[in-house]
Amino acid sequence: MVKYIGAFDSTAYDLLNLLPEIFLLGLVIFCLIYLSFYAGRSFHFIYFKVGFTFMQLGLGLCFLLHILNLINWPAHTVQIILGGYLVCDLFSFFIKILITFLGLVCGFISYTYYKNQHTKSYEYILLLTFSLIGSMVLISSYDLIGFYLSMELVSFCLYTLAASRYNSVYSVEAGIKYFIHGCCISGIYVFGVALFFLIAGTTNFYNLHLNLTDFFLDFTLVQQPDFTINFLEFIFFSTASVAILALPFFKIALVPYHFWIADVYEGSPLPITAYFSIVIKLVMAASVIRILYSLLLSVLPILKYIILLYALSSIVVGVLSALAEQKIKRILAFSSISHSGYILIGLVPMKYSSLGATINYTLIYALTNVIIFAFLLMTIGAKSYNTRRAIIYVSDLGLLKNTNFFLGLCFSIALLSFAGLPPFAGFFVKFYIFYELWFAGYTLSVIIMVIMSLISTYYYLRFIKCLFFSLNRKVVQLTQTNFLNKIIIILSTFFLSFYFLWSAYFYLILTCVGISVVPVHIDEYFLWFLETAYENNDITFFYGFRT
Amino acid sequence: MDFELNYFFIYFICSLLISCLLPLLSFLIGPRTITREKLSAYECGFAPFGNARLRITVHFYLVAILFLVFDLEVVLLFPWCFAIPIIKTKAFWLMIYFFFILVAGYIYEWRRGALEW
Repeated sequence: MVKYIGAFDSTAYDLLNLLPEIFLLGLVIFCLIYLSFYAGRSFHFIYFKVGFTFMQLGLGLCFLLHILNLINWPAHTVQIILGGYLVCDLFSFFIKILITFLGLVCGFISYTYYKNQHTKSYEYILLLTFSLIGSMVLISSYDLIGFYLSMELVSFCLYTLAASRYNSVYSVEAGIKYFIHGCCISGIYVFGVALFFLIAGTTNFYNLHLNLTDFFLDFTLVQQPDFTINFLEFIFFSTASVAILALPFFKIALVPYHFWIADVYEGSPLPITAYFSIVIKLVMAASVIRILYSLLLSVLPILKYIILLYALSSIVVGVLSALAEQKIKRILAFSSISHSGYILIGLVPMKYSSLGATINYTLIYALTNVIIFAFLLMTIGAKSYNTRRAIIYVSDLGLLKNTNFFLGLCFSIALLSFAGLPPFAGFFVKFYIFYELWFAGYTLSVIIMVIMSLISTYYYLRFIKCLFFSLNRKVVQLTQTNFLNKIIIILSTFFLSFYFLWSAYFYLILTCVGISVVPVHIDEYFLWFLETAYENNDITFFYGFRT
Repeated sequence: MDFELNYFFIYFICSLLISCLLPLLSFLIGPRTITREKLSAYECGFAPFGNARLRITVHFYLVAILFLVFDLEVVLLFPWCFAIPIIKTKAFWLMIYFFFILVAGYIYEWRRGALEW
């Protein structure tokens, strides 16, 4: 049972929950002004270093504050704060901890790259932190408008960051492509919000839930849906749902909206690609969980078949398009499409345990990506002995076993975990999702997924073939091996390899975390909430269309 | 569901019709005599010279974009004025906070030399 406490009026206690975000925002703005006075119009790596240090320290403190918040939080309590715009629950705190931690790790593993490239503008790292703040707000947003605004805060930073290597044509192309497609999808999302406002007179998740369950009472409670009851609302709601889902589905790159990802991954600088696939993927998966479970699926469960279609098609398309690719980044991009399909399909059975499986999958996906990108970011100084060019293609990683055996081994373990081979974590998280779907009755989908998973091992094994069993004599050596990257790779590989010892605990904990997303219809707190909501002046403004 | 949006729909249809009708009428009714003078390029007072597509320095775009940012805050200020009776003192402090961030951005772009030529 989830308890709803609080009302649509902010207090000092509310702001305490937002302390990490406020602190980080203050730090970024301070850093912006300070560095603009310190650096003036000059561009030098030293200013970047100062900004980097500030941001990593701030993120570390933010991480600790989030942990304090989580420890102090009463379990299974959901508090709606700041006039209904944000929500505080176990899920949001947990994901915030994860993203601050992964953001820190992402910064650390990218430092070698920054140093080698002599990154000249400190705005780069400030934009990264801005997008992290945006993602923290996005995770806990509980209103369609707030969701949109925080999503835009994340996206605008990412558009700029994707184009941040402005002397490269590919980078600029990536930025512009991402920007234009993102704008179109945002327009579709706002259309969906307008439709929701039309049928329910509010944009708040909680109030939408209250208002819309009246409309679709027959859809939710009776087994046989009667489409004649509130037919117009049904049409509007389903249109609006698909329009709203377009935005997070675009960001997580599910199939009808996946066209941007290969070019953007390829074009943007390597740390940004790492950031995309480690942090942003996790954030967007969490936002999909939030919007589906606290709003759409709990109002109209029929939508789960549409979700199934999205997920299955993205698994198939992602796997099949990665087969022909030669470039490392493009293979990772297409495999990330199929992985987001696996993430989404776990939401279809609509059970707490399947939600736990999804969060588990997302977490392990991010961790595997940490290994892969910590490895790839160290290849920046490396050149193949014969070709003398940077490492772009899979074949450029030839025979790494002769020079950096242990790193190659860790990289292979990460790839095998992606492929879903048994001793590693990737197998277990995939198995949970297959298990949930199979026992929820989606047997055909499970068969398709297993076949696709088998096919996907081809392109992961191709990496390993190049690393260990390559026939040509092009040997590569990593000259810029960083101690911190190595430590992070070893720890993550250790976690992935021995995950099976703790997998049951993880599954249990993450299921408990997932419970807090799902709203409960009838509750004593629910009635109390309604009374306070109507007494409060603020809420009548939101209810204006209904009363 | 409310159907007060019907009026908007009618308004929308009417505006669409009128905006289609006016160019169509001028196209159909207006007198057209094509002469050589009319077809040639026209520039006020003297004979046309040079290309119309000139290279413009990127500073113009930069200034335009920066102007746009500070101009768009007005879009936020108008609904804020109307919302003050509802959200009371909170609105005031929110706007102070907003202006603080805006001024921070302003200081940044000034120091960074975006306003200089």
